[in-house]
Amino acid sequence: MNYLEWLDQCTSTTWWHDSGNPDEIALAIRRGAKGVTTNPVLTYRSLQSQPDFWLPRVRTLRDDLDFEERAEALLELVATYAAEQVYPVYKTTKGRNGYALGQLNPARAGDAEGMLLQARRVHSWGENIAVKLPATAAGLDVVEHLVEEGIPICATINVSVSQALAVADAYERGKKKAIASGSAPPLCIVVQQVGRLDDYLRDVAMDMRLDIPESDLRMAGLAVAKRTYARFTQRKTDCVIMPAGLRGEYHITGMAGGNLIYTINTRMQDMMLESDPEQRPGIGDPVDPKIIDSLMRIPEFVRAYEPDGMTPSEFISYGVTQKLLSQFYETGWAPLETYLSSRVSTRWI
Amino acid sequence: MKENGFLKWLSGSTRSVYWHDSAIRCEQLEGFSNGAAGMTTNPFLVNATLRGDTAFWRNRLDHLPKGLQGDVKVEELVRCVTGFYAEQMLPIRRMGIPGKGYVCAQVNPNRTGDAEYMFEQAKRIASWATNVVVKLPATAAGIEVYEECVALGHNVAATVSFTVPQVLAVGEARERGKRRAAKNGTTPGLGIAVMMVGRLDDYLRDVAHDSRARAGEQDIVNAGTACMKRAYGLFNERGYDTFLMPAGCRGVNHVIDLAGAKVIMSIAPKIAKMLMDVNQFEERIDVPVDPDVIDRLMDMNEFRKAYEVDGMKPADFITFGSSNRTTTQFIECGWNPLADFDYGAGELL
Repeated sequence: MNYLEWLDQCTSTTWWHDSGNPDEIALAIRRGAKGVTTNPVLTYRSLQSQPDFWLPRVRTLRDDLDFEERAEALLELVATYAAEQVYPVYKTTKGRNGYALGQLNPARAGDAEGMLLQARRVHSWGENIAVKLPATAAGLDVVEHLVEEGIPICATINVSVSQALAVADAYERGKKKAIASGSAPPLCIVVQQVGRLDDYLRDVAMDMRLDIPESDLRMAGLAVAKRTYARFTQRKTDCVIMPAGLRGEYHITGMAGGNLIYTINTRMQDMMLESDPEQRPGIGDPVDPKIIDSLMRIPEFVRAYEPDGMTPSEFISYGVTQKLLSQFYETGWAPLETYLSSRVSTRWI
Repeated sequence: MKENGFLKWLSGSTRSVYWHDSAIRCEQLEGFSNGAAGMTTNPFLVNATLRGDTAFWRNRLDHLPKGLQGDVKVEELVRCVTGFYAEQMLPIRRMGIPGKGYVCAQVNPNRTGDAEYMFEQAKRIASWATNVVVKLPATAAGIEVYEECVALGHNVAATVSFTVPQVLAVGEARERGKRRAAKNGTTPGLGIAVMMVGRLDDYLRDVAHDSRARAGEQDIVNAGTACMKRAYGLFNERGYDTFLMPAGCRGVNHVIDLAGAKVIMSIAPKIAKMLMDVNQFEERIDVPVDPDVIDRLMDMNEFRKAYEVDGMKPADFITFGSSNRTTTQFIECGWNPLADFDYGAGELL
């Protein structure tokens, strides 16, 4: 039994595949993936990496779609394809697994009304498509509404304990209303971006000349994810953590065995199969308190790590949030808006 | 070529200096016919001209060593474009008018917290030509390097800068650097403190929506202008000879409301075109922003960070939302695509 099979079959952890590439999705499902995560960047990359597969489908799109409509239509192509591939899993696990994701326009991260309308459209693509939206104050409003409507969600652009707890709070509020109106509360995944936080703190610590060793910095995201996991367990919330932005084996072995979902791209799957680490649950291992002390010297880590490190209105202004939104937009959503279209982008650079 | 009355008036009849914000050749000719006296470039603009006008750059590209990779390659590509324009600007520079005849070249946006790396790169860039301006980020590390460069007599601009505290820190760094230069008998070069007025507005717009703030669109489009006017007053009061540089303008309002200031305005071709329709030739730098507008904007924590003299400490600069958004854009739409650009012969498009 290889490591990925062990993770899937012998622990509470499941793992999903992280790309929209048809060949990679097929391989991942053979390896035991129970769902597919995509985002605007992965969607754009998929269109580019397997053009022969996608071109006939892309050509069916109307050319008079506006920018946002075109990006949405392309996301729909890839998301619905991925959703079909994992639909059997959705059926056999009774909606616990077997989803694909449809992410909202990152340029709308502060626009609750716009996101809610877009989210309902995304959900109409298929019953096993979860709406991916940012953990900003506006996003939290939308989470509550969607949960009330029974729409499965995945909160992303989340790098801190306080964001994850705020999503869980919004979920619980929506769940109460759902139950009161007789509908079943949906799946709620809370992404925890581990590697992205490490990258950000590395730059900040260097700028402050704090001289924090790399061996400490690379534990920052994991420490935050573990703390969120502990809080979620304590609260007995139905929300499920999804560590993402994995940079190395330690990000997987460090939380293996937990009741959570990993999202793993093909390169990382290959790496895990190649390195074949010890099949041992790491979820119970605390991060060395000395490392936490070292990281606590970075004020931006304190904001990410403390359960009350940020208020909801600060989520959108946190450095990593802006980095992620910008990256999703510039290398994903914006290129999709004009992909194989005769229209020229009018956005500012 | 069409006459641009406003730009001719601005550059010819006021203290404002106009720099052209593009590296595309056909746009450059038009800019200079309208009175541009310098050029701002960034990794995105360099990438745009190399990919859009490859045939023109072919000869210079062919002189590069084969097989360059990564950051070394990008730096050489930036040099290829910047070096060409520096030669073009030399006749203007030789006229000896302050602020005229320069071209900017930006350091690696992936290393905004790494003072040692940026200092080494800044020294290399400064050696390309006497009229090259090294563009550094206004982070704590970047401003440290800025001072070192002033002390060595290099021309420097602090970019990725949106706020009053950032430009004040840059102004102070230049004063320190000039004192050190004087001790060594070095003549200081040109010093610029960029303020990306439109990018600040864009950021605050999202934050305002997200927090359902009282500030409306008419307030938001005055945020960058308000910060700029305050910084301009403070620079005059303190006698700083650093040129403020309004940049990232999003509408004609940014240029009109700052017209007449003794600053260098970085104006993109898109804005230049919009200015064709402006017939209001009036110096408005001393006209204050409506206090009610400021009052509504001051509800927002992120605006107070930008507007108040002590709104941020230097260690906060790298964490500011706009900084992260802009840096990511420079990386994803400029530096990374340049690293992927195939400059070898036989690639002629």
